Amino acid sequence: MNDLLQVQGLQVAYGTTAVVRDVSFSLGREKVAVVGESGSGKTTVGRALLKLLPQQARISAQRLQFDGIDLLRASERDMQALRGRRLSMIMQDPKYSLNPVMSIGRQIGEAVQHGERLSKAECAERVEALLARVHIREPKRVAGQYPHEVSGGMGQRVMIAMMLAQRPQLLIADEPTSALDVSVRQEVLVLLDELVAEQGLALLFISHDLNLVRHFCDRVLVMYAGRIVETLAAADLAHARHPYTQGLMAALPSLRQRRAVLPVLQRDAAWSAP
Amino acid sequence: MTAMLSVKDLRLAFGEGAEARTVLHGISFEIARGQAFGLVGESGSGKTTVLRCLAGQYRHWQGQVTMNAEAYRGERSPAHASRAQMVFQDPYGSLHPRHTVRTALAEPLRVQGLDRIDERIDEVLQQVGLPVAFRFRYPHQISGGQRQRVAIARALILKPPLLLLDEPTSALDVSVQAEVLNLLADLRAQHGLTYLLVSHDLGVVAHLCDRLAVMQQGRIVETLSTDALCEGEAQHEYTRTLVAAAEA
Repeated sequence: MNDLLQVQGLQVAYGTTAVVRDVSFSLGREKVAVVGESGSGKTTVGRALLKLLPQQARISAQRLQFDGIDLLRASERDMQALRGRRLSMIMQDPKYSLNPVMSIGRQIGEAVQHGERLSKAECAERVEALLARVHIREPKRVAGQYPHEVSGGMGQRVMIAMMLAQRPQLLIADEPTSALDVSVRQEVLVLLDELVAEQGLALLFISHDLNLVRHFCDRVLVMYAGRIVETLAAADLAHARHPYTQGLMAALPSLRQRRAVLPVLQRDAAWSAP
Repeated sequence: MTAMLSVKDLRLAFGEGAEARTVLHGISFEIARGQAFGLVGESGSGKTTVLRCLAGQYRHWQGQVTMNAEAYRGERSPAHASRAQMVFQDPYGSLHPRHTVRTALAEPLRVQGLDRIDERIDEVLQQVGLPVAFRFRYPHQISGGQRQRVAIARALILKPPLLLLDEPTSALDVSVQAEVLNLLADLRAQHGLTYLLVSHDLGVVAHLCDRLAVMQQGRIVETLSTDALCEGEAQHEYTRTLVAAAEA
């Protein structure tokens, strides 16, 4: 199968400390989740793909290929041509990723004008169409608003609209719903689902929420201490083989299965050994 | 049966005159001694606001609150501090970054004019399962789960009968969340504590609480037992949505 993204032996190190070690996976037009605890390196993997890590970070890999392009060799200039246009990322909290002193319409307009000159009217029209595309009811009014005037769920939809201004093939979503309430979360997920289906988007979904991932994604990569310890179909999460994945699943309090004491994860040094 | 906490018709508004915005529209509930009660709802539903009223952070509310058989009117006094203590969501934000664990834990004791400070600190650290040597650590030298244990220790050191828990595990990983939930359950069983737990996570509430109230837009829409919730006996549509989302 010709995969859009191929990663083999990805390593990210700060000085002599490797924070991501020997990560390999490939991604076609599907929804793949990266799960793990904080500090397991899941966000670092996402950022490494876009080369959006601090300068001190050293990225190495046997292979880091996106649609035939070798990302390892790509210059900063090449990366800029890819970022936003073909590879996009949405972050956890729209409060921090939107410019607080610029209207929503202008921010999306910037993304629309990225490499394309449009008249003011054409641009405004495109912005409204994009806002309507992410199911915002009054696109004209919202375009004139500032980020602090909209709710978290709406902010996240604005981020998605901005991403849609270009035609990315791969979307890296870093905890896109963690800052949102349950009911709003569902709306954002439905929207992402639609986009994957309609635009043939490949989605790398970074999350710590096992329950959510189990229903939303196709495949799951489980990370522990910078490594992928298990890769499995999302539907099989309940039958995970690795003791770490099993431990995570068992530690979730559940309404169906009530237990007096929650099993606590017993960490094994062998999990992080090479 | 005496209630540890009884809240009747709690109302709170911000702003004045035509600008006034009511955020709590008559909240009423009761928690028996030794019981754990959950408040669930979305952000903005007012659940944390209820806690803040009870902790004395908002003082201009109306209604009748009885705590440990005494009327409470919003004062912040040493007597109130030894009656109810709060544990906050984010252990990264709730501990002073330049105070050692010992300094943080000694503060309430000093304010209350209590003696045997080091002895009490050792005792409470053992209760929350931290090594005694942690006294000399700074918050940045310990993990998130350990910080939340310190925050719980800080709340427990005055031996209050009532703990107000504001999303105590939301900032933690599931594996660490399980440890902290187990700790809270053990502490309640050992010391006969009463909990008022605010959370958006029904699973957490169901695990820790005997009864719960569901809040929406400043009102309680349904109060039910955890058993009824887990049996699928929730009546209100909104509660059912939450249950469906939690089970999904």
